[in-house]
Amino acid sequence: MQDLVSITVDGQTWQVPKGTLLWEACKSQGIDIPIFCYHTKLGPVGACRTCLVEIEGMSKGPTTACSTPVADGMVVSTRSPVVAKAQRGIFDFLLANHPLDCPICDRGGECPLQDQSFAYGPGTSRYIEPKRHHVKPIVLGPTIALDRERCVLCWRCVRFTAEIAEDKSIILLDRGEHTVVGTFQDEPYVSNFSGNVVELCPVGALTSRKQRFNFRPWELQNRPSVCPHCAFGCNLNVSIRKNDEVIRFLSRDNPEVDDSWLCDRGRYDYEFVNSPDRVTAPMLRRGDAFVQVPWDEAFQFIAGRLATVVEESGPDTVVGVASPRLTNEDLFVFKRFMNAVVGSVQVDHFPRPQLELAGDGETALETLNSLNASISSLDEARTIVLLGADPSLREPVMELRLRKAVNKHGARLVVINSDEIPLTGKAEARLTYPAGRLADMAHSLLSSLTGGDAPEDVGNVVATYLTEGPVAIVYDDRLDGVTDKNGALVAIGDLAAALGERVSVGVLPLLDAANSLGARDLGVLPLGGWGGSAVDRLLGPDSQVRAAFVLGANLARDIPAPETDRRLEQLDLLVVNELFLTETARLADVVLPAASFAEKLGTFTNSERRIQMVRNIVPTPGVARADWEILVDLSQYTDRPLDYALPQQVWEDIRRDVPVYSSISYDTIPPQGVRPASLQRA
Amino acid sequence: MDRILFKHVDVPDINRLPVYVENGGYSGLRKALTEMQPEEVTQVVMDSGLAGRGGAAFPTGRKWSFIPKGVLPTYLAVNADESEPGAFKDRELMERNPHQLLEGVAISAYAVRAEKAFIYIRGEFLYIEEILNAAVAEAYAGGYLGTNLFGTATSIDIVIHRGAGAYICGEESAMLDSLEGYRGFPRLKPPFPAVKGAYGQPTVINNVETLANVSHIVNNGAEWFRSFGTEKSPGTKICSVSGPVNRPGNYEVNMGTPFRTLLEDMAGGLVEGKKLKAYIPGGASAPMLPGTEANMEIPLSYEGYAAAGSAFGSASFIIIPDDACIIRAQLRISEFFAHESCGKCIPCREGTPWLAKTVRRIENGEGRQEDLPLLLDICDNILGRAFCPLGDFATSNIVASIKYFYDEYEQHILQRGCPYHSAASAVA
Ligand SMILES: Cc1cc2nc3c(=O)[nH]c(=O)nc-3n(C[C@H](O)[C@H](O)[C@H](O)COP(=O)(O)O)c2cc1C
Ligand code: SF4
Ligand code: SF4
Ligand code: FES
Repeated sequence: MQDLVSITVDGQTWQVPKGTLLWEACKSQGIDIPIFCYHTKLGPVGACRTCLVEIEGMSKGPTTACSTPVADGMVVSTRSPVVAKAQRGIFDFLLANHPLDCPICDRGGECPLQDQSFAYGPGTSRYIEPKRHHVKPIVLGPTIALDRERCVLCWRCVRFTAEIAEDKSIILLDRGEHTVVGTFQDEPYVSNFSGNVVELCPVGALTSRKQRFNFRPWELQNRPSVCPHCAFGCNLNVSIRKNDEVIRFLSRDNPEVDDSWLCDRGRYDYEFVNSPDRVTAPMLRRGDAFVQVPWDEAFQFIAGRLATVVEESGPDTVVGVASPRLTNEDLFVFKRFMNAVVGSVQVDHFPRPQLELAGDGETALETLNSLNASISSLDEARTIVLLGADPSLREPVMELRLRKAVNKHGARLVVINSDEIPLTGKAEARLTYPAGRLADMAHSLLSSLTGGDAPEDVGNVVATYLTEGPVAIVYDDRLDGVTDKNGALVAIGDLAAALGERVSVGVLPLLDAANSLGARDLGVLPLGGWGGSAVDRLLGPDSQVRAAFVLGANLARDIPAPETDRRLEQLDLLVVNELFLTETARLADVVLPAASFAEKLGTFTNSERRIQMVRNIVPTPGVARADWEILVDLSQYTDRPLDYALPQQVWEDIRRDVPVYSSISYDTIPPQGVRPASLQRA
Repeated sequence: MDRILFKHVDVPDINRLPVYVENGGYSGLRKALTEMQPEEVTQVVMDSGLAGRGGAAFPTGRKWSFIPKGVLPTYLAVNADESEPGAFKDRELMERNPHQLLEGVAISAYAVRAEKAFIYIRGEFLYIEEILNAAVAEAYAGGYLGTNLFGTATSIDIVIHRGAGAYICGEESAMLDSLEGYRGFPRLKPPFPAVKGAYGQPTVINNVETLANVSHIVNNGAEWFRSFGTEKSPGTKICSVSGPVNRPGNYEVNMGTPFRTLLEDMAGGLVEGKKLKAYIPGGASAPMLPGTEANMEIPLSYEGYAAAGSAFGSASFIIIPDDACIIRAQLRISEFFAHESCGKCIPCREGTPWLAKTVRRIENGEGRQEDLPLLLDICDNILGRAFCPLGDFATSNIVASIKYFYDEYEQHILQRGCPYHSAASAVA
């Protein structure tokens, strides 16, 4: 139980945990105190002085609420005449040199300076001196533009780069009234996380070069969603215009996952949704060209060919490959369609690690799976080991979580990699191994841990860092460039298991795509599990496959070989569900228009097994539909129709089929998603 | 005259170690290290009533006692940034008798169990850095700095660090930023430097003059020290006197001495033909006082100037003669603060240049009647709202000059210009 103290603000008395900052305490009680420099995720700096309040017994006069921890019996006024005068004074200063051309400022309409000046400012300015002028905008880097006249010098951007991303790129230059935000010697600000500073900026000073002046905030509505670009699963607000246009992604704080940050890859990759190149109607191949056809005609065609293939060659000559970017609902219906409607066990997801796991490999994967840790458990870890993993590349926002775990929670970071990675500089210890030889390294670690032989540096790391828990292991499930993928996975699994016998251990995998873990949990794998590969079966040299359903997977691009194209072209039936006419779709007999993540209701399972919802925020282009809906509709043209009308119904079947999801009811998934009860606090 | 700090200032070559030692130098350090526990040193300084000479007059022994026990390393940082307009006492203390400072620093470091002390010198004091470096080298060679001093387990190193020249770097936490190699910005407190200072470790920060007193206190005791000065302000104080006086310079006074003695006897009064119009007792940050008879009698002490509505501060006396334009004097002060504002907080960053520009307009004959209430209101919006005292400092003379010389402001506004001869009205 936390210590509670009692405080009185504007006559209201309540209890808050000791040490809470006064501003946070007031906010939780709905008492508004203006702020600029303070930010919950950045902590206090005390620079702007807008949050002044009066605390009884403080002889020095008004105090900054953002930097003052509550104390028992504290009596505070946020609206006394003294406070009101102080606030008016600060806003008078703030606007003295600020341009008053809000109608042409990008922030106008969602500007804290505008809103708070209106609420707390003097209304008019007494400033008659010439205003400061700067060249504008200044290109800060490839993604960000800066308007120095609008900057209120709140330090948020500076602190983000100094304390969160730790690249220390954005700094303050010059002094006094000449102080400006900039970079050292005007070097470009290049960062994987640059968009966050735009979102942090409380005025129109920092803008995205991609988005500036593209919209007015009041045209937009924000809708909650989840980033579709990696398995970390950062939460988003999708800003839409006129109900049908996706304009930008904003962060949506999920303290358990993203801690309010987004990476630039996630933040800026949204234009695909409204792209004019989207596939908007079913298309049938006629010779070298495609013609648009009604759904009915496309389904009749597919059902006819499918029936012929199955009759002539049996259902196992039909394979299905789905992308792990699809929702759980899509993937589940896909699997059911293949199994129950087509009668084929040849389903798979792609991309995924191509492993040929024999018995012990499956066990390793199961072990790692069973040790699946939560992202927030990184904050409690004594040691975090990055084992052949580069989160900055794969799940970038994890980098920020790791920095925080080290800086705020004292975690010790151990980087074990064949290459330098961005987090190397943050590591307290590091081990390297020759490129590709991850398996050997994992064996050495295991050997040292279990009292066997190991090189001295490995032994030292094990002795210093792995003998005390909790230990969190982050490994890269894709095993790119690793020479013995199976061996490496088995060794990592054994290492985790052996560690687990000694200290408390959690494992976080870096995965291929937003819903890779969902695809696994749902068992979107061929007969024989990890040992088989429907993709190999489809593309292999003596392939017997005659028909394929490919959902969102771009085989022709990702397995670049003339053989791939030839095999796909030769099929009697290639059905591709896609957003675009991809390399693979171009080889299809039928292309079906699929809904994007912003156009359908469904769930993703992120790498910590958090079930999060994406929603139908904008209408699909043309007659596009969710993949699962397409398959349900198609099944009506066969003698084994599927019976789902709503994603909820699909989820109910998922719950029944996948034990780990059984505790989660679709209607009660909170805005921040939920991990299965069996895993919570792991 | 009662002298402590300037007692040996005229001894030839007192800046050289042998001469300093001949005159009793480093006996205080020997005594402290070989006969006293660190806590005893702190106690005697506490008992002496020595208060910080950097301006705020915080009791020195008490400051040392805030250093938490057992958190090592601790540091001592010496504030030699001396940038307050009107102040030039630390400069002379370092220039003339550097070993007196080094000895005080070493003893004080011992008292707070610091094995390393930093002397942070103002950027412009290049030649003083050289003097101190020479003295430090002598002290190492003579066995007064370094390891196992006087055969004890105590080791003390002194590092001289010169800043880049910024008034804000005299503010103690900004000084630590600058010392660590960052741009000097005052830090959010808490944590206070005594808990988390230089490089995140417990740190005591003291002014040059403060520490220069320490060897004398250790040698002669608290009672002896209290025999100087007043009950509330024991000891002596070096006062810098500048402006059109016959003998501008630094004078060591027994605290409690009336200002008249300093101005007339020591500094030789104003130069021929000039009369005292006003004076600033504690550097540009202290409110000016009109040159009335009553203000001539103020005892030179913290309490004396507090009672008069001003501040003794660093005891930097700026003399303003009758032929000087107060608005022009104020303009210098206001432009100084606008120039030196670090830019961290809004009230000071935006308020100080606003004040300066408004005063400049008035001096240039473009003042408006409403500018006077505006100036006072800007001051009201800065005072107590700014992040650090620099903002407050920028307001004190605006308020005082309008209070005491309202007519002169009005004259400027009504006559649309400065009534003084521009050359004669220039104030140092
Ligand atoms: C803007 C500003 C400038 C200051 N400049 C100096 C300075 O130049 N020298 C100094 O000793 N103290 C200066 N101080 C005071 C220091 O912050 C600090 O109080 C002092 O060094 C403590 O030493 P003391 O207790 O020995 O006086 C300044 C304070 C402020 C707010
Ligand atoms: S650019 Fe924006 S975030 Fe950065 S200091 Fe200025 S106002 Fe604050
Ligand atoms: S008052 Fe504010 S702007 Fe002025 S020097 Fe202090 S922190 Fe910097
Ligand atoms: S929000 Fe408190 S000082 Fe800026």
